[in-house]
Amino acid sequence: MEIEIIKVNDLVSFVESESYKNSSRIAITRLRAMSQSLNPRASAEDVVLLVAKDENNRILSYFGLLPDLIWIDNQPQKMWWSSCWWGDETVSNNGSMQLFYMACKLTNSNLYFPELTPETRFVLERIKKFSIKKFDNGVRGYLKLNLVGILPTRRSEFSKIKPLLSILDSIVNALHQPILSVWKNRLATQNINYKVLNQIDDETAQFISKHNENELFRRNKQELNWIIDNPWISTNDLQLNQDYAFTHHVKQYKNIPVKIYKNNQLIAFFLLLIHNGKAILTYCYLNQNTVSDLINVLYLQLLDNNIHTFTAFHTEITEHILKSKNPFIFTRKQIKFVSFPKGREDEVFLHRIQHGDGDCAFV
Amino acid sequence: MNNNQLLPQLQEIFRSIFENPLLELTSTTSAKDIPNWDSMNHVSLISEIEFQFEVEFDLDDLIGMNNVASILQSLSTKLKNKI
Repeated sequence: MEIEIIKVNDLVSFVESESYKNSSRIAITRLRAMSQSLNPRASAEDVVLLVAKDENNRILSYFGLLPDLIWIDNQPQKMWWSSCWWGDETVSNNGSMQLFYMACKLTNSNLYFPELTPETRFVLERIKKFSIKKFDNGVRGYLKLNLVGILPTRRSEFSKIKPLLSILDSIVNALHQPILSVWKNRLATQNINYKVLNQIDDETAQFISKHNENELFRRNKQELNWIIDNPWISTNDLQLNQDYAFTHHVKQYKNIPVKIYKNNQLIAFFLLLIHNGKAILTYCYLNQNTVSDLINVLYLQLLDNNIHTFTAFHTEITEHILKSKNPFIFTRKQIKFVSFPKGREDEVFLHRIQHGDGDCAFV
Repeated sequence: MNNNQLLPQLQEIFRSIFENPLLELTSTTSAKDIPNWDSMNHVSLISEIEFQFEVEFDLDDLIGMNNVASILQSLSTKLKNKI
């Protein structure tokens, strides 16, 4: 088994090489590679991808890294997010653990995992070099019922009753539609002053800089614009003809940056990621006592974009949605687990992490 | 402790982790000979070896451990250094 190490300054040539183009399986898409090569927080020598191959040059496993900066004692320090981890399940001992250990070595164990799958959590708990923080401040709201899209993926028995689920979805959604229309009309007539941006402007950047001091990753204008302008998922019609284990193409994908005013003052900003009818609040900054103003604009965006599911991990927003009247058919609390190196508990537990931090702003 | 002495103990650990009481381990046993050697079994295997032999592997050892021979090599070096 051979391990290939790819650094930021190798990425473009890597995805333009003949061996990449001719490979039936790829470890990174061209879009992800181009985006990662422009990461404002990465240095040319930062490692971003580890690939294990067999003697026939076939990819057995890969581990993706996303360089970032963490603020410790008001000073930025280099760290890496795990951005993907995959191993060929048909190959026994496919090298995925060797890649993980190598990632630990190359990052000096400054390795963070933004949203743990049960398998990754199992591995990290046994290694005992990582701590895990549970985030229980999440909420998911359903504006449309999609049982036919969700249940069969969770339990195969539901596949047999797909037509029934589809009918149930249609009935509930038809009954709920008038409620959504009332919400939309009510919000539209409230004369809320907001602006949908193409990019983060200077005014918003200044607003964010006043609100990010207690954040672990302290996003700024340059990084948020990089996220907006350099997605990892494509919406064009060109289908990938190579085997790739992660999402690379969807029908609908966009970032919506929105700033909100009250009495001519900028009071809030949020970045909403829309992905095939699902909306995720990736970044959010707001003044005190403005959460209801923000949520009204958020609901307008959800309704205007025909969203069926909304997810946020933001304490104020979650509490407000759960306690107040809302347009959702139903809501559910959400949890997620973030892993970080042992010894970083003080920083991670005392500072804010936005839901978009890590690769969550891209997928 | 030489490799011949370590192998039976390692074999017991492998049998327990891979739930195969008939598994026969030799220094040439490769991953291809052991089905289900996935990341979760690998990390359980290493944890169990560290626990049973009271050693802690460093990252360089762990990176190289992808077959029985390399596990034996790293383990015997660790045990020698322990004495």
